[in-house]
Amino acid sequence: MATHIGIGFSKDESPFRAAQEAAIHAKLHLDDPEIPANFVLVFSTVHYSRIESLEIIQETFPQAKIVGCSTSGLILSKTIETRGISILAISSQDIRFETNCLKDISEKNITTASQEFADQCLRSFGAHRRQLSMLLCDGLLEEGPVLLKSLREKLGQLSLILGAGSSDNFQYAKTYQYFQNEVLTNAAINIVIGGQMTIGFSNQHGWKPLGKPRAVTKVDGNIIREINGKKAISLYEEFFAEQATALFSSRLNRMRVFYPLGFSVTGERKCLLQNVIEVLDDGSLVCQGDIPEGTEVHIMIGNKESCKQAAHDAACEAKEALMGKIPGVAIIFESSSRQKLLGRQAFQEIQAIKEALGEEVPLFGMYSYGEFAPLSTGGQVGRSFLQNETITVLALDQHRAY
Amino acid sequence: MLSITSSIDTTIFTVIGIVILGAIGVLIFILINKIDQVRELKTALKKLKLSFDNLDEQAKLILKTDLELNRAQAELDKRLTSLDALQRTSRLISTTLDETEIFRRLDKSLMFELGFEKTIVLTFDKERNLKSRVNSGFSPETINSFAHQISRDSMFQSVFKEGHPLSSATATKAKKEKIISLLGMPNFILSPILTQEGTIGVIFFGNESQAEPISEADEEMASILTNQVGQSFENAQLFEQVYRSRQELELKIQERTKQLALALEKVQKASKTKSEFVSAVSHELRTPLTSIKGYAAILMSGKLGEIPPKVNERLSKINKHSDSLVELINDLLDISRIESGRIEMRHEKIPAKSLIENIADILMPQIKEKNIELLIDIPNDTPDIFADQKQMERVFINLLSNAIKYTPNGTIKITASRDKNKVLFEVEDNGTGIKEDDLPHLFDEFYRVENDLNQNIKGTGLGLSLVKNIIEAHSGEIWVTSELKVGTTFHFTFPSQPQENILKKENQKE
Repeated sequence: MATHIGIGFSKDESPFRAAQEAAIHAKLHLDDPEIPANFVLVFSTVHYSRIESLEIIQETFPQAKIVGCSTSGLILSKTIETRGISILAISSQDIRFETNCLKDISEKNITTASQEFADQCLRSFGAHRRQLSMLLCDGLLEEGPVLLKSLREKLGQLSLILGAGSSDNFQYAKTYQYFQNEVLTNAAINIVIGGQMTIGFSNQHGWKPLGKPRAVTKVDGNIIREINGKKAISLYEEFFAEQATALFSSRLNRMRVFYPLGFSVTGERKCLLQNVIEVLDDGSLVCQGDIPEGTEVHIMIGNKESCKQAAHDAACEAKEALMGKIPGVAIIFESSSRQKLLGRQAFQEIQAIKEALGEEVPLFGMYSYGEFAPLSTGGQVGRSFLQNETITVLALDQHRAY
Repeated sequence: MLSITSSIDTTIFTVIGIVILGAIGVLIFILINKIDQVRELKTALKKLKLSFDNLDEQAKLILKTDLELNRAQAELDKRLTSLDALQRTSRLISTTLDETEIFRRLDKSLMFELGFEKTIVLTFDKERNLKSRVNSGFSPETINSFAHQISRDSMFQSVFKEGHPLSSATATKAKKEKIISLLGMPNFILSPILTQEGTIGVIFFGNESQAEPISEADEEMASILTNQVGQSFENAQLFEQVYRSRQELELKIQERTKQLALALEKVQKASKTKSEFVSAVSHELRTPLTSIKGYAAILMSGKLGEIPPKVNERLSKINKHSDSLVELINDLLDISRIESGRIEMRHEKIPAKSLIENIADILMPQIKEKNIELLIDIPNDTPDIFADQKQMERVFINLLSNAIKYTPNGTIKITASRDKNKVLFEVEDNGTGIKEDDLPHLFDEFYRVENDLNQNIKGTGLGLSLVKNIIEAHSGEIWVTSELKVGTTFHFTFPSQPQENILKKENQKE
């Protein structure tokens, strides 16, 4: 028994033809195209988020569980593409994949709905050994942390949950999630994975705290009202003076992307990074994830080199965690803010990953609005958080000749 | 006993007092020491806090600098990416001369690399209506409405009339709102395609995404691209014009060639008829002429009776003029035969030097009679020539006779030299020379130079024409250089290598 992996990509102008081409390539790249794929992961830019794309993928892989989401950019071994569709097909009798979907999230009572969803994920996988839960959620929703919390509660606080928020070419308008042949928005998809395989993962960011720590003195879920007893925006005002007003302009403002907030988490060495996704009129800062009151907060600083180094470190740790096994594929969830920060050097970061994992290891990734990953890495699985500005490398072993 | 007890108590109290006092002293000392330590710690803490604050201030400075650097780096990255894409696009569109292909090459992926999600290329048709050439991402209805609006709305006339680009970075609020209402694009550039004849169209570049707001630099880059498109479009049109002109010219040439071929055919036919006529007439003339000469000879021989001297004198004239007429007829016949290819040239190996010396011997009496000096300069290594000996002799005799005729007294020089596969001969005299106007006609049939000397010299005007025909029949060339009162030189070539019967070959070709 063995696990076969095939990756396909296309940027044909027609979404149908592109999906067809990518699906055929993925199928052909499976070591044995005659063995049907049982899991298909689809990433595409929003231009290809079409039902006809998913229908042809389903036609190509009729027995597979198909999931995926839209992204600002596709990460592949040889290129980074800002337009196109990529498909990862896995054919394995040793690995079990269970997929579940939660639709119309913002129209539901998120607490109840997320608990039911988590319960459904747990039950559908049955008593098999779970190794990983992958969460793909609409990156524009604020309900991500609640979903994550419910999953943690049901699947176990220390169970490994990785994933990403879908993105949309920095338009922040509409992102898509793919479930079988459905193109959804305002939804979340969870894939529970288990079986005879070894996984190695790591999440890194490369940012360092700058200046003295401040305390979050008043918080309301994911809205930071006060820092050090003053309105939250004063933190940025102290550092950037009048330039801080630019924070109000757009989510893509350089200050938000390049200088995220770093929160100290008890028991963790690394800071939890959060981008400011919105600035309220009263000077409150809105983040994607929930912030506990009293937490220490820093302005964080990084650069292209530290980003590349973090990517390299993440790949090294993921490889080490495989305990000598050869990676068969590496799935990458990377913050779209890093894509923006790295600009023309974005692919150098991917090369750093390849250097660490090995040139021949196929890469399959996406740029996200938020990454679900624990702060602890490698073999030490900790609680997963919704983070920003990070890169997660998930390596699955080649798993051959069983 | 009581006093002893009292004394002991007093001592004990004293000792205790001393111990207490000592302890208090120690405590006071420790306290003072601790107070000092606290004071020192407070000072250190103050210093630490100050350092911390200083570090925070430094951090602020670092962050501001870093922000500036990031901003510059991002701008530089963007420019580099755009320039790279612009260079590739320019190269692609400048390497075609097909109008449709130019626009086809402005494809979506390149535009995307230039940083634009959607593009429309519109060009004016003959009725000055804007028509879509490239459309990525819009419905035909949207484009038609957009084309109609921008070409008529005075708001956008600066683009068409003055050739100024318009972008979301520089446009007025009203213009921006108009574009948004037409295409829903908050980030855009509208850049005219300019040629020497004015604006031929416009390219719209648009972004829905807020990721990269359009800057003035983007506007400049779009202008460069549209200028390049205009230039390529102009080149394509010029090429089209040149191509069409060439086609027209080719048609005209074909037509003219056809006309010339017909004319040539007519001339050849006329020439053939003339040659046949000359040949027939010459033959017909020769028979009675032979009779005339025969009868004159019989009369002159006295076989038919004694003839008076005056009659004899007349008969001699008849005989002499008959000879001239025979010579003329023979020349005409030869020319006619050579022209019609009826003479077969025998190509035999002839040593040039001996041939010329023989001819000189033949003409020596006339040379001596006119007191002319004849110089023959034929180097020993002059190659033999391959020609018909009889015809070649005619060439030399004709040219030498002419030289003798037109050189009252002086020098005639014959030279030969090797010229690749040929031998170049020159017959040079320092005689009367020929007027420049006469030179082009010298080899024409019956052409005689008009001068006083010529009136006294007899000739048919066929000699040089015959010479030319013979030389050309050997694939040689003849030309003349002359200066009045200085002299004349005839230059001609003969092959120095064996050849097939060239004349025959030529005829076969025809």
